[in-house]
Amino acid sequence: MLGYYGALDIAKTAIINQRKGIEVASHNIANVNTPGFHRQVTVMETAGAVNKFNTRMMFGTGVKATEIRRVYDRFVNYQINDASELLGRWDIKKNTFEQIEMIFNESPEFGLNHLMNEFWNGLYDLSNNPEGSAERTNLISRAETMAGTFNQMDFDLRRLQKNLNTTIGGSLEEINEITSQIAKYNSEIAKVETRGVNANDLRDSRDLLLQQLSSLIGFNSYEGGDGKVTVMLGTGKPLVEGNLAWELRGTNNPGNSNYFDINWIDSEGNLLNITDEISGGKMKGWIETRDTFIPDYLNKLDDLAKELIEEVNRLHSRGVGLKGFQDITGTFNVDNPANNLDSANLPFDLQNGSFTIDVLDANGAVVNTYAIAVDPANDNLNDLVNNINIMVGGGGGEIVAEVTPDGELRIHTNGPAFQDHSFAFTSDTSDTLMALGMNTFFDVDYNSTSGIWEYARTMEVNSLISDDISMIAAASVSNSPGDGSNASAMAGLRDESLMNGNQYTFADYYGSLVGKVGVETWKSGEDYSHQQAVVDQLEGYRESISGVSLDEEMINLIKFQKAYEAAARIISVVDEMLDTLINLN
Amino acid sequence: MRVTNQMIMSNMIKNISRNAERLQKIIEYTESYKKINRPSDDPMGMIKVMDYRTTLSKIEQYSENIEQADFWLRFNESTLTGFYEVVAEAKRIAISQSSEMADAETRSINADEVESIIDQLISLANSKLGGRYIFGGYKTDTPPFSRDGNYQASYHGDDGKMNATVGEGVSLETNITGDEIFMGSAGGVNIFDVLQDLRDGLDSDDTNVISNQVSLLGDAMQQILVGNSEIGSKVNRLEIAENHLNNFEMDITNLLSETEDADIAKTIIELKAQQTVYETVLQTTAMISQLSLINFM
Repeated sequence: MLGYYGALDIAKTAIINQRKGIEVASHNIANVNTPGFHRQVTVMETAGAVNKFNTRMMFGTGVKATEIRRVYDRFVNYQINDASELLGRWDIKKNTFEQIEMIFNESPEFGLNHLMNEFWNGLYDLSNNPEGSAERTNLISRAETMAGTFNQMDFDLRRLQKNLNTTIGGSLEEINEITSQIAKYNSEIAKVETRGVNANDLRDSRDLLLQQLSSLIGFNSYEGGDGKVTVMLGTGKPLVEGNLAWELRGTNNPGNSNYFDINWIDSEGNLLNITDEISGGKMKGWIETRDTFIPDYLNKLDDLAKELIEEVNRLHSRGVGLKGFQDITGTFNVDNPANNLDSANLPFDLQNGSFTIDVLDANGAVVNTYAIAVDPANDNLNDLVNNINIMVGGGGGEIVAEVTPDGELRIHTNGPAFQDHSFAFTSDTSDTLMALGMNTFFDVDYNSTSGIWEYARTMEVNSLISDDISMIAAASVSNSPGDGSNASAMAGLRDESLMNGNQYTFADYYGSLVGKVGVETWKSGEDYSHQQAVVDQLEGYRESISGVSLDEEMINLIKFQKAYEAAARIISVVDEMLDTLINLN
Repeated sequence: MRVTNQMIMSNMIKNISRNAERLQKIIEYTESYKKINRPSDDPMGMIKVMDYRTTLSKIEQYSENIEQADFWLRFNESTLTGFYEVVAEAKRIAISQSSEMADAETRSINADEVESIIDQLISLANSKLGGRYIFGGYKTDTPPFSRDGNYQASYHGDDGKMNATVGEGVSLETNITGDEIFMGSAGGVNIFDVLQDLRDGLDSDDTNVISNQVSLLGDAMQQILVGNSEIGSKVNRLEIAENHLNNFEMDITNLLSETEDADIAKTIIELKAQQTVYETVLQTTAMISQLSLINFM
């Protein structure tokens, strides 16, 4: 009798285990589109053999499914995580550069290059007809457009920087969420697997989280014997260890425009700044574009604006408009009138030299010329004011100089006796006028928070000339309405190599800046494409090992179905055999 | 190699998007007519394009400066021509009145004539172009010449020289100051003094004085002619510069076009070709995605 039941038992193991095979195939089919899913296989073995009927034969007892194993290549998964790290970084670099490129795009003909050309041409137009109010108005509007474009480009770069910073803040939360989930999966996987079972789907989910994390931030990971994975930053600070996750937190850095520093919080709750230690992933991309690439372009743009303003202002401050001044206050202030002019935090530097003031009578004739010597290493603003007043006649002369409460230089005609007089500046070898913002073309502002003069950001046409176009100093000589020589000298600045240690003209410098943006954008695109190809290749490799093939699963289904049918047939055959036996008369 | 459904799908997506990207690029060329639409398309090309545009902008401005200078110089020239003819008239009077045929009465009539000549010359010397007095140096806003009751002319301008920038680092003086050309301040004849002397000589019926002025007026005419021929040679130089700029402009415009413009014929052929490729990819994708064992079960 035993033989019959043995066959039935075998058929039973077959039915049960082939059905498991069908279930696993169904699970694979159901998850064909699930991200991170690794196909699973039912591992079947023969059930133990037994010695029956006191024969010397070993009889098999059927089949058993020992485990449901996921098809997984640990090595390729590590490689994918490494590659995603770099892909994330290049992705951000590429995206940011595409946006920087839009700011510097000179392909359409209305970029900064064009506007600078228009500005120089406007100065030539003025030199052709220095008295013309149309030329003067036109020049102001061209200069305003050019200055506005410097402001806008600076603003756009900073906005990009600010957006990157906001993204960093949001991504820190995302990273914290992922690491705490990984920690949770760690504990669940360990719990399940202590019972000797494979936690396949939990592991799939955890692997997917690790891949997501790798595109965000660079880390090393390894799995312990308990099935728990440890995630560590490059410098050995853990993000996940066993069931625990460590938090990353952003804090505002006042030294870096209040942008986020990234801190790792240790077990005692201390914040450790790890901003510079982040080695990969999008986080590295965000940090390096925010703190390195964009500031580099901001500085270069600022250098261009500074030099342009300095050179134009230097010539303009020595020039003469259609009429003289009666009262002028410099646009730039010293931090302290008692500080020597070379260390008074002015936007431009002074040199040892002198400048000239022409005093004109009511008819515009030059009645007196005063040469004021300036030694910036020894003179402060108070000294300068005293020197002017002594030179002009101990305060009794035609003009008076003073220091305003804000620390600016003010010069005005002296009282009712000289109210019909005026004055003009006709030469300056000391750059005093330029540095103090007296009779300048462009104005810039000081940022008291960051403690620097911001050229590109705040450049604007000095209200002195935009409010009264007759003050544009087209002439080099007082009372010379037909003299356009200063305007053409300013226009001639476009041909001079003044940038980068007198290597480049303004246009060449800006051209090379745009070229650099182009090269870096192109290169970051290439880096990204290359890395994308690497990741694609690796993912294809993983997919080839672990992915679900519907065709294959269909065949598996048929395979298990046929085995199931055959096992059922065994039962009916045994049944028939028993029937035959029982019905033996 | 094991091929799975996801591999097939993601390959399809990659192929389609890669081809769509190429197609998009070519469409951009045909729309903008440019092959450089952003610096990264061709960074070195972009630098060249900016350089060419800057050069063209300079050429445009130099041409404008030349045009202004030319206009100004030609006006100077025609004013001086008028001045020359009036001085010639004075010389004719001096010649006729220094002869024995003249007497105190004709000389007195001609003295009036010379007075009106002086006024006419002062008015010519006070010529304005575009609201600017052309012979007053930098003092373009006030009449450079006036006379007193004694027909003594005086100059109120300065010696300011105007320059037009007609090329990189090349400038050209565009004005002649009145004291130089009419009053001989840089060596030469003071035409107004000569005429005043002529008038006084006629008034006082002094043949010697009158005949002395004849040769001086000849010198005066010579002085104007020399001034005018200087202007003429400047106008010629401007024309040469203008021609040079025109040629240069054509060269640079060609270079600019070669660097940044898309070759339309070539682009359209590429567009057609890429369109065909794209359609083929879509068709094969549609075909491949039908394939499955399930269809045969």
